[in-house]
Amino acid sequence: MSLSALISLAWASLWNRRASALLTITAVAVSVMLFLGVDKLKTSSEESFQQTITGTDMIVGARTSPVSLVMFTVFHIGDPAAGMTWESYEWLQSRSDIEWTVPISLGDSHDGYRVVGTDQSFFEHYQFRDRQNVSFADGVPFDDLYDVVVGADVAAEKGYAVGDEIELSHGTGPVSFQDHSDRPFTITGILDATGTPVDESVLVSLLAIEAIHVGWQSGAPSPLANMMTADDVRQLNLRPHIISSALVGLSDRRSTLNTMRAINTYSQEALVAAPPAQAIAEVWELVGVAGNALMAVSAFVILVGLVSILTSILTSLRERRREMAVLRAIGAGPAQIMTLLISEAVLLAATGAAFGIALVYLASALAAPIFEARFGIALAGTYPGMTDLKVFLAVIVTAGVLGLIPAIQALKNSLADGLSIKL
Amino acid sequence: MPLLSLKNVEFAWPGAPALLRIPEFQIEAGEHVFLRGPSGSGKSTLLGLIAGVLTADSGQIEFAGEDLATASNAKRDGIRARDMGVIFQLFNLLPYLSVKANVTLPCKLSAERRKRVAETGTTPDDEARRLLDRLGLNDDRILNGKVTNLSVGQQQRVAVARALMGRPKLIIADEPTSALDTKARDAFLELLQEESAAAGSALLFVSHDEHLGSAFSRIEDLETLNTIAAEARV
Repeated sequence: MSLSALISLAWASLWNRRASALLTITAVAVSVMLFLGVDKLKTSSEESFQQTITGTDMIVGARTSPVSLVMFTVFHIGDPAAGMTWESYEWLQSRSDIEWTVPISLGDSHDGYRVVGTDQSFFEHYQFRDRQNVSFADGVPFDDLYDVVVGADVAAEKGYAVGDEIELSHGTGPVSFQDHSDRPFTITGILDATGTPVDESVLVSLLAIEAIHVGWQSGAPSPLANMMTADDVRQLNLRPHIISSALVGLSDRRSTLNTMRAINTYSQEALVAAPPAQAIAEVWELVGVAGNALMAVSAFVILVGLVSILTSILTSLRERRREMAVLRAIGAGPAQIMTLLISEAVLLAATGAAFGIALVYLASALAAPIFEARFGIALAGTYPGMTDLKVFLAVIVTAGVLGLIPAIQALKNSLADGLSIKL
Repeated sequence: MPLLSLKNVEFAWPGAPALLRIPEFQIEAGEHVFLRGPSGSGKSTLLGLIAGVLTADSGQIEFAGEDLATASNAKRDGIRARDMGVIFQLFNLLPYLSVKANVTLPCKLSAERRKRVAETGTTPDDEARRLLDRLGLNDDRILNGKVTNLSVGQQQRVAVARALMGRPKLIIADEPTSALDTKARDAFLELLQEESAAAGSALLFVSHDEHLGSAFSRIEDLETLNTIAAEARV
């Protein structure tokens, strides 16, 4: 009997047991969906993570490990051990091989959100994902000393609107007992969601950072701080002293190594220059372990799905002993009986896997806008790709191999039965 | 040359004493033979040997000029697919195929059968229709319907149609009437003989019921053919 005839026979047989076949197919479909879904999320979040900062050639700060420099500058995780002087920042700006710089000054917070001191260049040069700039959902960049711009999450969670007045606090704890409550700030702009730590940031000018700290130089408010009003501070000739780090864009990317060497060996201050992509990749290796563990778990779930195929076929064999004997009597050989049962396993697996893949794409098409808006994660691969094909083939091959078990059992049965079938 | 010829055939199930020892048994082409034997006498085992599903421990089984005892498994399966039609006592049909698909199944397994149907200037589907019509199942609803909707008697007739599909050289019927009532049994037997004759197929009909033998010109007794059983009786 030809293979196609056997496969159509297998189909007819499965159709006859469609209720149980459907359950098996569902088990496989759900397990494949889970696996591909986890894979998709992992890939998407990795991409999202690695594209937290793009277009920046290096990050420069006081000497520390490149990973820690990138972590606090980009992800706001940890604190700078030391600051970089404004003179060094000006030196960076003056270099001809450096096209642009963005100062970053950290260390203060607003209700648990990081306050990032920077300047207008941030809106111009900070880029994420496919070289996208931050954009305003409402309002404009800060301009005045007491202007602030808040990230999308800050605005959403605190219910802020443009024009609201807020207070910033010294230190980075969620609850600070030293609110700089005498310095009222006004929200001038709210950013669109980016899926980066910018969403959870409060952006102010560098001078604003200086302003919050007037009279606080000793770490606690001096009588001077209490005496001065916000307007008095405005009259002071403020200028930035220390910043945390700087984002740097080069005029020519080919000069990266030379520029890095010049910065790393700068004689006036111990500095370090780190390309962000490399440090981020290093961090992902640690973070990505969780994703790999999830992948391993869902691979086992697929195996469970496939074993359910095995179970359903093995259970059916007892009642199908006659069917096998009839096929033998008509002239089907052992190889054909085996092919029939393996075809059944493969058909169940293929149908289940195809449904699973379809479900993943349906689900991701439905969920993509939500993920984009809420987490800023762009779901990877809107069209079926190599991964799906590989999973599909792996599922089919595994099902075929597992199908050998009922096939061999059926073969043993039919050889023992001969032409006389015991009821 | 006879169609089927057994010489000194011996068989024992693994781990059991010898069950069959048949010095000689032959069936001519087109001949109808009634083989009588009580339950447990090894009838089904003998049919398994003739059909090539079992292999003899020793001796020769020649069918249509080929030695089944020395042929490979695949070859024996091929010979059975091509030239034998088997009818069981019950459950002859695949429950998940339509009546028509059950009847044409042998043509799917054997190109030779397909060819023989084509030689008569018809298609497997039309041949199935013709055979079922001859067997009194000429309703299109039956033809395309589910096997499980049929009565046992109808199922047995469908089994006959399938066995005769593509005119095999030998029809092997293993107690095909034991599930039928007396009236249906006689009608079935008559149809089976008529249609086998019309197809030119030899018929080996096996039953424990000796009353059925009256319809056959040649009656054999397995307990006589099988010398082990004969010795045990003495």
